[in-house]
Amino acid sequence: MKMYLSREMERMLDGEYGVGKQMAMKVLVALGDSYNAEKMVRIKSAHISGASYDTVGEHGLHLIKEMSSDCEVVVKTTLNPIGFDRDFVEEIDEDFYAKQMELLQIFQKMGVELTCTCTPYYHHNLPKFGEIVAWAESSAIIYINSLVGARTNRESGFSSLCSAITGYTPYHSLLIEENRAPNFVVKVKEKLNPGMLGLYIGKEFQGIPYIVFDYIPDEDYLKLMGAAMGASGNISMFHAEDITPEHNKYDTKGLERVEVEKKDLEDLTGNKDFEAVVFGCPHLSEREIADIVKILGNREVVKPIYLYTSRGVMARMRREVEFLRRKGVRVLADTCMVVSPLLRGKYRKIATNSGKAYHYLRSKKFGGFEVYLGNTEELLYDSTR
Amino acid sequence: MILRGKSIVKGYAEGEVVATTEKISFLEGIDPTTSQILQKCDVEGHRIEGKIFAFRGGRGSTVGIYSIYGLKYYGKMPLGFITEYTDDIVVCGAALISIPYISSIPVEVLRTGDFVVLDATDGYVEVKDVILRKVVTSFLKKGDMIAIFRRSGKVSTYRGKWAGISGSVESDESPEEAALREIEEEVGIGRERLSLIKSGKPLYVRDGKTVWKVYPFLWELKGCDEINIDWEHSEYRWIKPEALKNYDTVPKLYETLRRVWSA
Repeated sequence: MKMYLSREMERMLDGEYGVGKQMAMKVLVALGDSYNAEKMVRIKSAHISGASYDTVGEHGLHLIKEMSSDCEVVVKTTLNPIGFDRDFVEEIDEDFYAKQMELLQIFQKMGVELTCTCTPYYHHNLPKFGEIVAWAESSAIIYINSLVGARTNRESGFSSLCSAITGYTPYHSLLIEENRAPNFVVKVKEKLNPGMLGLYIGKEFQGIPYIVFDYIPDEDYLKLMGAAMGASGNISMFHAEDITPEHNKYDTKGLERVEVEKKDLEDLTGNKDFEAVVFGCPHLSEREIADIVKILGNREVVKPIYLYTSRGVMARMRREVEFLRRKGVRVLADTCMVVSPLLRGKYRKIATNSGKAYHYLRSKKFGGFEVYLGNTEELLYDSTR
Repeated sequence: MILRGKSIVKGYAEGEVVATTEKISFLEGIDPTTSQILQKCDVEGHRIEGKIFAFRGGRGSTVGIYSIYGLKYYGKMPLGFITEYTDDIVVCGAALISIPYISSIPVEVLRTGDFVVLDATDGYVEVKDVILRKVVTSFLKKGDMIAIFRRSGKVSTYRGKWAGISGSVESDESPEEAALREIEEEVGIGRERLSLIKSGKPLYVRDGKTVWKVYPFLWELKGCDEINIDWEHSEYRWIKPEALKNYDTVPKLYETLRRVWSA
């Protein structure tokens, strides 16, 4: 069965609205048909990944340029991190800088907000409960589906761009109420590192978990856990009992139940012998920065500490950021430890509190580091005195 | 041979195929400037320009879409895509560069160099000069043992190899009927002594210009375990299922067994 298209969509497909919309609609129709979607629906916002010239390459730059030649985004659209902090570019290769800035200008010309963050939901782009959106960036997808109750499928950087240009996304999977029901129950019996817990669940299970905690995790904990799940597997949503907004919509009777405890996570930590420590995958919230400031207090930094956050959060935490920088902590926006080459070659052994960063930094493509995954407080104590 | 699939991006192409059963990551697996396959696999080094590219499915970064576009950008377009699993990256990529794409095709039956007609409007793939034959393979089970049979010197294929009870599915019968008929013909056991434990998902075996579509069955044998074999077999044995790995069998017999028996 082919998907129903309105006359406006047919016109886009026929090229009446130009090349960009035509290419975008063609891709969305193919995607919708492959999922047997019955129709397309309007989206409220989009978030685009694949913003680094390093990953899209010359041909990717050309494609985005071609699509943007005669169209703009028609909904609020934000952008993922890029390869460097636009305020600190001294060490950046000139050609790479020029190409990256060209790509950013193309996005800007299309009307994309150059937020350069994986946490647009803090200040730039926060969807409402129940809203349908087309987001890329796995950690943001899981965050807004689970904690906000907005609805997005696991879009790629490119399909979210197509949706931003046309204003539509095919109606299937997580956009539909009954597909958001949990598939299994996870009982967490003791307080666990959120990154390790997420990595474990993502690796071992498929579908949507319904998580029962024996303690009360805050939003930052759930953000770290969700990001790790999205990295080690392809989970795009979870429910947390009594916490997330859709947890009580569905019956969990008869679902498979599993328990997780410390000993299940033993091999997810690594060697605690590191040269630098990195925080901010996903980008740090105001509260996470405030916590770091509190823990550091009067302590002296003895190992390099890197913090990654968004410009929006940084602007609201100016005093804290100044305090941290005076201590020698590097606080960066626009980029992160995974997509920027900053750490590569400089260090071999890195520590982080992020399961997602742990997952990617160990891979060859992102530097092949030895990584230790620990708790925020522990890592800060170990890198100061 | 004609294989029906799911049409994803409409269109028509015919040409030689480059085929692998690997999942392909387009970001680092294909060089868009040359169309050469860089990923470690059985078709590493092949170029997909001007060919129909058949692979298990996509994997890896979603940025791979830009590499597919790159094939067009650098003038190295393949003629079409064939996959077993539908993958978003491949869907977007094929739509973007407007080449036909069909999925749900068992790619293990294709060989690099086959000449293929890809009709993604009607939803089929035709492999020229290759014939498809439907066959059944039955395993008889008694306790924790299964019976295997050694093909005699008088049969036309796979002489001397160990096998299940197999034979062609006739055009007017179901695979299950064919399985019962073959058991009756070859070992003289009637359906009253058999109860079906499991019928497995068919698998494909490519051998030269023939593709066997094999329907696996596992039957519980009631009564005595003495079996009378006919001219098609020279001997039979009752063995533990795991021991099958040690026998010289017809192609993919252990895989066939695994479709109906789990350890």
